[in-house]
Amino acid sequence: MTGNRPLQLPLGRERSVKFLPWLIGFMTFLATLSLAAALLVNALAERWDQGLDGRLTIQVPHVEPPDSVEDELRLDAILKVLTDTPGLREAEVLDDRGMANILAPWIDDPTLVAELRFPVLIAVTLDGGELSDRVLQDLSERLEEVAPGTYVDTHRRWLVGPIRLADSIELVAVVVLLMVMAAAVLAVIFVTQTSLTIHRSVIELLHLMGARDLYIAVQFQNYSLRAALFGALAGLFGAGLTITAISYALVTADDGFVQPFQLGLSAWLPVSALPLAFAAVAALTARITVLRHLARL
Amino acid sequence: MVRLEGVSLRYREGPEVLHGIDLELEPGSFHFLLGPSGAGKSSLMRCIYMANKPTKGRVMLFGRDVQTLDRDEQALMRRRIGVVFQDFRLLPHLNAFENVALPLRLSGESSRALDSKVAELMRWVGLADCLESYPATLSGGQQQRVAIARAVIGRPSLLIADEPTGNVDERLAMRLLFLFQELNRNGTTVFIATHNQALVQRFPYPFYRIDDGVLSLGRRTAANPVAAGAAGG
Ligand SMILES: Nc1ncnc2c1ncn2[C@@H]1O[C@H](COP(=O)(O)OP(=O)(O)O)[C@@H](O)[C@H]1O
Ligand SMILES: [Mg+2]
Repeated sequence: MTGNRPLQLPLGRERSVKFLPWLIGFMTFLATLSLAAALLVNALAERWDQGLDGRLTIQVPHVEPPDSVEDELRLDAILKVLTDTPGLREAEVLDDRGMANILAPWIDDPTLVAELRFPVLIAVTLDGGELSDRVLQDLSERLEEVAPGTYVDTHRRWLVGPIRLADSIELVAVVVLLMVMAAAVLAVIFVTQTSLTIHRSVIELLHLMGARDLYIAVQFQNYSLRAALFGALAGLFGAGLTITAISYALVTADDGFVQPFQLGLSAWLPVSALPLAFAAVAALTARITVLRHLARL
Repeated sequence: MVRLEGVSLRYREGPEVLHGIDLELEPGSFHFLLGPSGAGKSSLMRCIYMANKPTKGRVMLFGRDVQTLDRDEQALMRRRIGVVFQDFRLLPHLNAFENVALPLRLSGESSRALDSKVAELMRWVGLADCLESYPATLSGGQQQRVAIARAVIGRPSLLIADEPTGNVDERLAMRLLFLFQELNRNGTTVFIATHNQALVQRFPYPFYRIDDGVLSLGRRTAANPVAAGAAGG
């Protein structure tokens, strides 16, 4: 109703309630770190994924017995199939000469490289994103027709392990986040119930003077909101410092892993929303706890 | 306004402290409830202001059986009842001003109207200098007057006062009773519990007697203005 009036319930003075902001602060700290970890791992996995996007390699084995004319014909047929496949931009053939160049540091004799009969590699650049599984399947089948033994490599199988690991790390982080939230809810319920007991006679008096349950619940709700918001912001601040310190340490460590460990702007947004989520959950929990308690009187 | 039908009360597993009480307070009436300590005055009043549920019988307020009200209806009805508790029940963390302002705040009164009303009433009960004082720093009599001011600030339709003059001297007791009288003239139904026969003698209002949880209508005689039927003085 009016702005600056004293609380009718002296909430926040008793010892058991005073530690609520601390508790919420610590929990927000943990929750923020888990959320940040989940977002980081997610971003990392996406980056790996994207690194492979837009490219595939086709391996074409030489014919048996060796027949260079037949090899040329097969390669032409393959290139024709590739030209006819929608969504491909460019195909670069890495033939024996190209291979010899690559292997030059190890094998300096080009004829030897030709004798080793490495499969011909065709590096294909896609037009935009990745090909759907159906198009890939289709492509493989048509290549198999014109050149048996041809293999289309999306390199994705190399990623199955790391991505699965990333997914489980993400899952664990989300579970930790939810558990911390649940613990916060329990803490608020406990603190609110203790507070209800402590203030029983004041609440009874307010009732006798005509206060509605909601009027009383709102006082607990607002106290909880303030306490949780205060604690959660402090927790977020601490977590932000920790994350920044970790990224800094990794940057100065200067290895290939550095770049993915910077939390992007899009990740900071949900992380900063976390204190608000905690405050909202705490306020709602307090309100419901009080209303349920009073309805039982 | 108030009607009790066959109200009995026992506290948990204790003995019955009120026995089949019938009582009626007409709108605009003024009654005393006279009885020695431990007779059940406070218990009876608690049944009327809905702090205790009778174990037997019915309590009707403003024409409605309180048993049938939901919680919000109860809250609204309680706002029409002013109560002076025997033990004051001031909120220790609020100063005298805020304690008195409480009923107005609960019914959403605007701050400006509230300020002047509270200040004026506090002057009336002689506590103009104590607006900022906390209950713990006030004497028993001062606390009692804050409690009375809080009970009447909302101009209740019904005023229930449990020994409202127990902690003040004779002169102040009279002054407070004049306040109740004034309220009554403006339409408030007043019901005052006291063990002080002298006080009842001074005001020509009807009174009930309660003894060991049994209620009877008091009778004034020429010889003894507050004699009771059977129980005697
Ligand atoms: N909260 C309570 N619990 C148990 N017994 C009570 C309680 N309040 C009062 N009593 C008992 O009820 C009887 C009437 O008390 P009370 O109504 O306070 O009388 P009065 O106000 O006339 O002094 C007394 O015997 C008292 O011991
Ligand atoms: Mg009493």
